[in-house]
Amino acid sequence: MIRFHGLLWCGAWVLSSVAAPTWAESTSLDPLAKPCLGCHSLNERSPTGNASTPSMPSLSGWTAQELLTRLLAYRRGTADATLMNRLSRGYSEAELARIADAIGVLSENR
Amino acid sequence: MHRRALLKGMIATPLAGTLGGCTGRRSRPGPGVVVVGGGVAGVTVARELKALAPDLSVTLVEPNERYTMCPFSNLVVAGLRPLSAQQFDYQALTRLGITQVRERAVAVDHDQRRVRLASGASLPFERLVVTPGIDLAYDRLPGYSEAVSAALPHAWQAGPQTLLLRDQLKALRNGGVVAMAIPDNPYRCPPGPYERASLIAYYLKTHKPRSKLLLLDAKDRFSKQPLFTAAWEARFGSLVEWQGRSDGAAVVAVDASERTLITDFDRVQADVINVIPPQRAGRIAQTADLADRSGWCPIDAGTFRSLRHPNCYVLGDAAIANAMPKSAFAANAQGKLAATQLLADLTGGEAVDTKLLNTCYSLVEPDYGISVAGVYEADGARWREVEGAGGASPRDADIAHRQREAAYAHGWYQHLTDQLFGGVTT
Repeated sequence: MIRFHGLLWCGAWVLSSVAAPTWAESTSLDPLAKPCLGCHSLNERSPTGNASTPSMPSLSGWTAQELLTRLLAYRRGTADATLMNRLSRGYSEAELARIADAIGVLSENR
Repeated sequence: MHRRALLKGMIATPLAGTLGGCTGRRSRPGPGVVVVGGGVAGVTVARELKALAPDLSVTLVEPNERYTMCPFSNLVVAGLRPLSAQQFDYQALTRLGITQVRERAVAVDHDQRRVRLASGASLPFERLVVTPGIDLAYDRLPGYSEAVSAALPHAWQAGPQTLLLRDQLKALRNGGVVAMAIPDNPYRCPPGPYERASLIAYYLKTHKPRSKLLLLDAKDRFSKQPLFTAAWEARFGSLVEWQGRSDGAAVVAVDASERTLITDFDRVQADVINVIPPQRAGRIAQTADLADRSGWCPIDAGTFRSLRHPNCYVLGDAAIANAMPKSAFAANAQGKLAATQLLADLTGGEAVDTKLLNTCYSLVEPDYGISVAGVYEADGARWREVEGAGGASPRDADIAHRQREAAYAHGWYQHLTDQLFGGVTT
């Protein structure tokens, strides 16, 4: 376990040395959360963002708790969405919490 | 917990040098992983492997200097987007330390664990990832061939074929007839033919409104069917006509000299003909004995490990992923998971048990988007869809919803191509 923690520390050092999240950062995610990044960026602003075209929402700056609240609202149908309501129903509340934790940790640490 | 188990497994083995990027050890010896095919699945898995294990040798075998993305290429067909917006080079992969071999892989010696290249050279591997996408099964459609496709384009592998179909539509007279032959399942991009039909219809409505688009389908049901058919009715009226298998519309042969599609009951002549032929896994999957009699590659669902050759992994369009569609989104999601599973296999760790998801956006018109989504779990030998989730966009959505989905489609494409070919990759 000591070496495991050492690995995490080393990962944190790598993260702090770059301005934007890299692939290496997202690879450390719980595999359950990785498909989320098929659409969503962890950058502050999606590269697609411009005035005329609303981009895919970035997950930058979201805490785990904020993410979970939103995911549960999608799952329960109480938040407006085009797609997230359909996707969130494929996961249990516990799985959504895992996803929120995984992405929230990356987002908060930036 | 699975991830911890995996990481601990990696550290506990003699191959822990894969993590030497953190520990300062020297590069991990050995031939590492060879990835054959630089499409969405192959690029994803190569980048993910390199990121997870910086000292692992990762080699990408891909004959082309540039990749041409199929998603969004229907906009090129309709004259709404330049082909250059679909094309990306592999320089970012080189900078990440992925070895590039600009050659075609032609065979695999599974006993010796070597990939043979067209030049006669060969590459050793510990694990091989085969991501060749599709080959067009010309032999399954009499009268159609690669030579005929120079006159009757398929445009189902993006590139010159996409431009050929675009230019034929441009040259069409107002009042002309366009026909599309659409294959039975399985094939690359289930909603793709219907997005193409929509955007061709949009082009015709805008520029050549007396023309007609006839869809001859080998199926009776297709992806997002109620959404497409309602939108066609509302937006294009009688310009678009779809006929399915029960109507006798399955195209069984092509008569190129007469510009004619042949169905069981009819011969349909048209000014522009787009033939989307039956497909199978790309050639190397066949020559390397990774495909079964279906033409596609059976895999262990959760890990993407080949069921025929256990040192090989197959993912993306070439793999039999059951309920998961042959889509770029799925190939990207599979690539990330397969990299994790392959490293666990290579280092004696445990495979993870997780879910994947897919989203396919389609454009009916440039500002009118619809989607279909699914969440999937590996249930024993199969990827099956999680019940109660996923499905298509609502049928009663307002135009603002369709506009948002069109914008998200663009956002998805931009983000995917950034992940694959850009330097910043989340």
